[in-house]
Amino acid sequence: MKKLITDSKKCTGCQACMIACTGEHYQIYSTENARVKIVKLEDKGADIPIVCKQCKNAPCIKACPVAALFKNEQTNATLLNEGECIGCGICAEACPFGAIVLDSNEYPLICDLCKGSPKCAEICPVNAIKFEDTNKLVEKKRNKLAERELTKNFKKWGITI
Amino acid sequence: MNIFGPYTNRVLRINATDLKYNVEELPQDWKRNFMGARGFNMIRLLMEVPPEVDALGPENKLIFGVGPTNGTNIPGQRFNVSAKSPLTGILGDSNAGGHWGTELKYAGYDQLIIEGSAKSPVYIYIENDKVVFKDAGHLWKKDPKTVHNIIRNELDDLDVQVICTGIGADNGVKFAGLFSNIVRANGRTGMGTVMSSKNIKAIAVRGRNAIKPHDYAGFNSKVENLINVVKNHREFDKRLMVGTTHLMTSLNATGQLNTKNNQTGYFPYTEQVSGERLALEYNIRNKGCFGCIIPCSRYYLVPEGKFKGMHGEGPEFETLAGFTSRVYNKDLSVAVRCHELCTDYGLDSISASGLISFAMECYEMGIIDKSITKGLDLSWGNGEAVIELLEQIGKREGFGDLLADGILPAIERIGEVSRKFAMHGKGMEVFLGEPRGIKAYGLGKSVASRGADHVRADPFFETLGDPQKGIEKFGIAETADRLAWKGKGMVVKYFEEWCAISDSFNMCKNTMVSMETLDFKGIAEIYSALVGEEYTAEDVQKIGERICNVERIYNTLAGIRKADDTLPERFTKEPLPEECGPSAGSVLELEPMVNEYYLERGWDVETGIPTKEKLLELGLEVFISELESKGVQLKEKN
Repeated sequence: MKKLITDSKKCTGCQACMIACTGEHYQIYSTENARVKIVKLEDKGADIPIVCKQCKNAPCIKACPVAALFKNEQTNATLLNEGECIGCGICAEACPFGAIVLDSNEYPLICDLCKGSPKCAEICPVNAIKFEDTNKLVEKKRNKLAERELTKNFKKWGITI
Repeated sequence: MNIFGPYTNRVLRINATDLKYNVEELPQDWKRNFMGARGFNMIRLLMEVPPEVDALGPENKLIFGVGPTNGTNIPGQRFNVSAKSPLTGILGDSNAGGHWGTELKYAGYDQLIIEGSAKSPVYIYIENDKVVFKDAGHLWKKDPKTVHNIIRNELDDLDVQVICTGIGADNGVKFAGLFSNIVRANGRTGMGTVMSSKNIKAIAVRGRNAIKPHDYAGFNSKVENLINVVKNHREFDKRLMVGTTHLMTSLNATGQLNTKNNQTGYFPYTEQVSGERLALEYNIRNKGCFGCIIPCSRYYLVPEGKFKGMHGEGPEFETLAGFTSRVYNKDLSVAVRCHELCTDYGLDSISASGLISFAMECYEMGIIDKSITKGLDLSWGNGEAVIELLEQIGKREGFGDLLADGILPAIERIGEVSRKFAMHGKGMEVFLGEPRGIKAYGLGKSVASRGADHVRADPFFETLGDPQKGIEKFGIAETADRLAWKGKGMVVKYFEEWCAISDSFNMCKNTMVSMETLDFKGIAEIYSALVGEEYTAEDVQKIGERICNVERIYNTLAGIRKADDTLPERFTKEPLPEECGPSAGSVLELEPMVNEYYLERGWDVETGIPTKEKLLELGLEVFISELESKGVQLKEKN
């Protein structure tokens, strides 16, 4: 299953992802009610994207006292049944990543993966946010490492590839 | 949360003397006539700040402006700061990227005006409709990084955007800028000095509102197309890797790199201090302005040597060349250290390096010696002395104090004999290209409304080197030949108007103009969808022309005439030396170029004052009587 995967080493802090998010959801541009956030530690030059990790055993869903949160089986996104939500904010408190924010009316904003093709990942010019299958990503990493190891060994053996 | 259109229609006016504020309505006709940001600031300056006021007195006004695209998804958003300049005495204006401008828009303002002068140091905190004045005694004479950190801590908000002065402005250096996101500089014309003179150290802004285009679907799809054009642009990878610093190598290769205070256009040690070397050995990641999808700013970490471990954002081409070729320094880490010092002291790196190279040439020529420099050995390439002198300027100490008011006072203090080594236009120090090798840039600098400046016009067209393109675009083959002068008046007029729109629409000039991703027609299409009124390419260019003329009216009132639209004799009389290769032997034929430019502009060829006919055509007739009442004689037409 694909999920949003972030890389803080690549993030430039431009926040294009945030305005793409509000554009998609509300046809307005704003950083305030974006469902993806960039933490900027300016004096360290660091920009850290924070997104919903679509947890399998989601603390937000478990914490919700009125069962207003549920999983979309196709995309694995955590969705909000707005009619049920009582605006208590417990889901936001429960999220270990601080990825759920409350809007100006104190109702939660949770990433819904834009119905399966997240705009934040689409817009990011440096792939600091990617929409990928974790296993696929890990596989690529593993293969790269193996290749490096192999090259090192080959070099030791005097073989050039 | 409020949802605003592309204009919030609100202007925040702060009186620093009384620590009071009010919100006014944006004059409605300004939108169609001046578009935004720089356009709004220039008309505001003309209407409210008479050129005879003391630039550092309470009567001067510091004006911050944003454009209709700020807050939307337009890539690379910026903002303008304007006032009467304490460096040049004419109009002052500076444009910067980062996040501060868009935050001001999200707070609900198209423009912010600061008038008067506070009795003791304060900083201003704006959160949507809330405006709070806070004591800044503990921030005075502190560097931008420290100020950013303290204010974010005090307000307990990592997302608050801060703009502030550095140490130099608070010491009264006349070419001090304003700094947001720590290193983003509104560098030129001394806007930081003006804010400091009002006893304001910083403005912290938090905006929680939203922007909605008139036609969301139309606007959004047009911008998404633009974004794809940028992402697939042939220069995308290069700009991410080296930003503007690629110019070190490319300008030097053709003898156009300002070296030794413009003695020559060739620096033999360029490879050691090039943008490519910086990228490979120092840079660790990219940084972007708000909404930028071609984030060309780079974050460095010095890997070795005396400054090992120093880190920060930058430098761009002007600063890098300013502290390498211009002062003949071949140590990259020294240049990066100077870049850091310019941020800490909050100085314009172009003016600062220009003054230092001026002093170095005076030293070489024996006009000044160690008795004047108070022991500093200002031999070309002495990196330690450059660092020391830069700090002295920021502190206004030692020999640096003599340079801290800019180039014209420096000439006065050193003596008339130094004038021929002062590379400036209208009292502002020149850039790091060599105008003899790029003649439209030379013309652009001599007529630029804020003093010698290259981004008022940025006429890269002349570097294309393709006569056919020159004929197609301007009807003259030479317009695409950097070493020819014919037709350049036309080129500069066109590019000045394009750049004025870039600064007023407020999309990054590098992306819009230099990368040619949006021409007047493209801007008109996006702008029409954004505001819900039809604009043609001609309408948009006309707005650009109107802005350029408003600026000229202001400068005319400030006493600027034809004789001021010039550059030092070095550029017009001394041919570039042999080592400049393809540019060797070239001089700037300024006089015919300026005349041609005035004719294109509809300005009096004898005086450089706009004709009545031109002002009427642009709907600026209201200023004819004002000019005449000040004794300015306007010609009917050319």
